[in-house]
Amino acid sequence: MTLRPRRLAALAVAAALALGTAACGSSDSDSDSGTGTSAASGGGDPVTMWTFKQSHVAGLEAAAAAFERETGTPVEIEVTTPQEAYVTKLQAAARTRSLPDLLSVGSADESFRYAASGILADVTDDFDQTMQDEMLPGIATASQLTELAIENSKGDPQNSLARLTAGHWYGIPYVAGASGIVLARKSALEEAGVDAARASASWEGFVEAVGATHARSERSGGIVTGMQIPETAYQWLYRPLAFNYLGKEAFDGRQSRAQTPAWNSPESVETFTLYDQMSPFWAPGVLSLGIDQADQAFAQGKAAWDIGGTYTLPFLLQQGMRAEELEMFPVPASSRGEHTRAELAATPILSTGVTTQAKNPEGAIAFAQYLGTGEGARVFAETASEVPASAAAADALASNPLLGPVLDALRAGSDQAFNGDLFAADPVGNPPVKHDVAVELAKLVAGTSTPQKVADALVGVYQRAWEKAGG
Amino acid sequence: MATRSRRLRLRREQAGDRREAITGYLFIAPALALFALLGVYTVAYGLRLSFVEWNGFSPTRIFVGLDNFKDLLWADAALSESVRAAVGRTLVVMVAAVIPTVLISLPLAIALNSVGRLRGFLQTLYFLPYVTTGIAVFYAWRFILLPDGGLNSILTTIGLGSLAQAEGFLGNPDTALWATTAVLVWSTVPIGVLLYLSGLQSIDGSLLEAARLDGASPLRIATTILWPLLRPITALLVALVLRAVLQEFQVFLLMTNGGPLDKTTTVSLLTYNLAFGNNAAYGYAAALGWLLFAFSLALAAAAFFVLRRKG
Repeated sequence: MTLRPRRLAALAVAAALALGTAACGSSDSDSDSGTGTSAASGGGDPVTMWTFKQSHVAGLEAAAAAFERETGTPVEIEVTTPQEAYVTKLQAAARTRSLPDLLSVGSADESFRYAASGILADVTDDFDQTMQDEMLPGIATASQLTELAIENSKGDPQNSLARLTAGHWYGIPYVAGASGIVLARKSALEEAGVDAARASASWEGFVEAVGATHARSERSGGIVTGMQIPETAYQWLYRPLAFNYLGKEAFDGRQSRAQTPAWNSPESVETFTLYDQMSPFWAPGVLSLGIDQADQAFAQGKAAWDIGGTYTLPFLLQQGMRAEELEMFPVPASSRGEHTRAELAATPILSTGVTTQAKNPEGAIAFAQYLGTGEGARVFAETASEVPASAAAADALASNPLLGPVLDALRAGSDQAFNGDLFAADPVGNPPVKHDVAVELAKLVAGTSTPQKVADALVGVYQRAWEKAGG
Repeated sequence: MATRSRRLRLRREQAGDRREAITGYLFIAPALALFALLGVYTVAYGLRLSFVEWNGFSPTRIFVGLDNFKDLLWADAALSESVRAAVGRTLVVMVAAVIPTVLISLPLAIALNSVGRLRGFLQTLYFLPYVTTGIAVFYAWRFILLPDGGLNSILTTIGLGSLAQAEGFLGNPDTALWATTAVLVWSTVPIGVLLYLSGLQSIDGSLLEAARLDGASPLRIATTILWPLLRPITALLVALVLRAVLQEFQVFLLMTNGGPLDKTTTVSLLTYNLAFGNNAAYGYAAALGWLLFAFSLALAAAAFFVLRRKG
């Protein structure tokens, strides 16, 4: 069959129009993007939740199934990994108005940033005092937007939180925990004659213990963490050590505009010296390992020690490790420091944020509450081996051999407890100052710097960062 | 009467031409629409982004004029230092990738050209790295370069244990950039071999035969006959490899993620990190992309100029 030129031309025009319509429709239209979900909210309508943690999917699905049994509302869980791909997906979905009802987001910084950008709703009215009281101590307060956070954000207009309200919440916490956790392989400790209690009692005991396993086997007795991203060791190992050595006031003061004490003051240099004591004992190739790769290396027996957070445990279990094989304790404090006992603050890690484009906002809020403090919190925590934000769910995990002691430590934390995710004292700026700090610190691990040189370099790093932030 | 009919015929012919032209335009309309959408729109959008501050989420973008460019080049001390360091590394990779690619591709192509049997099979074999390069292959190379990976094992086995790297080739800040560059060369050599092979096959065989009869050694033939005749191919290959180095970020992202100690963060990876890192700064990323484009353009112009002078 042959087509006349005019007919062919008509076909070509039709195809061009169809292409144009298809391409433009999704980006310019303000109307619903036609996902097939009813725009009307209601009890039976499905709720969609996105997460970036593969290890959370089973837990969230278990909680979703329980929620559906109770309310009749189905919840669909979708995962996108890694986190960069998740963020890119959120950006694209926000612009094409195809966000889901619920998002899994970082509890403090991230939920505020997304709310300031108009994609997360204020959930203060749905996170009432009763719910707040049902959380682990400190969780509700730590996930609340503060005046200080708003004030500090003003130096970065694009990420300014000025349009939000201090004292409000923009997500309901469901995962709590703490960073700065040491995980150790029991068998490696036994083989090297290491006493876990002594290792966890002080930084000095810890260094001695890592030295012992390393001496027994350089190939499998070392320590790992995802140092390909240098912030990891800075945040999870150095910061808890420095916090306990300097004390809260000096630790925050060193990062402040006044830099008091100075980064190169004797006590500050001492923190780098202590950190450098660990340098000979890192596992081979540690600087090339990402976070997951470091955890995998530990799970595969290529290291005796792993530094992470409470959230490292689910990944290790997913890699085939058994809880009985592990020891778990906070990064110990130096016996010569301001605080000689490491205290952990329960930190809100992840929250469920209700999007401003939610098609079933009532259902979304109900599931967020169920996951935060309801039965869903227990179901999720048990299935995912995560520390829940809910106190009642945490009680149910008290008998867990690994999470039980950590939960006790989290509950026992005083106001001097270290919150590893709190960077409020840092100058704001993009890229953030912590990357430059972490790179300088990693030079100790690489053996290309000294504690004094690192300290001197950080004076300059913070001076420049504060100048940029408007100081 | 005759004039009128001629005019009518002329008008009819003109109308026919117009219809033909319209038909032609309509035929290319879909391609044009696609190009306008995927080409012109994205380029214009990228240019617009380079003049704003935007985190990818916010409904408002803050117009900052040339500030992004100024920050990248000098105004923001920390950022401009990162950019300068990344430019330095990129220049190192450019030199370190181009020279080995040429030095490996040409002898391989000459050898392949002289092979009678199995030439097709060998060509396919040498071209495999080009068609297989991607995420899986970069991860495979990562495993080879780890402390307990294949390269260290081979070096130890053949008695060159002193060259083995205890931290692995990617974990040592002194070797990581060279190791990733070596993988980049591995992926560009096949295209070099292919280009040289096509150039060699276009050279008149009698010219080489005459040189051989005059007693020229293979090395002399290669340096005094083949090399000058293949100069345009070399220029093209150099341009292609430089373009690959300037744009390539996958190999650095997947194998080292810029580490250790940022020692493998090139300009393209820095651009990617500024756009898709934890604190997205699309304005900086777009501005750096345009600076990279300007540099590429200058490089292409220089290559074109050198090529014309040689020609």
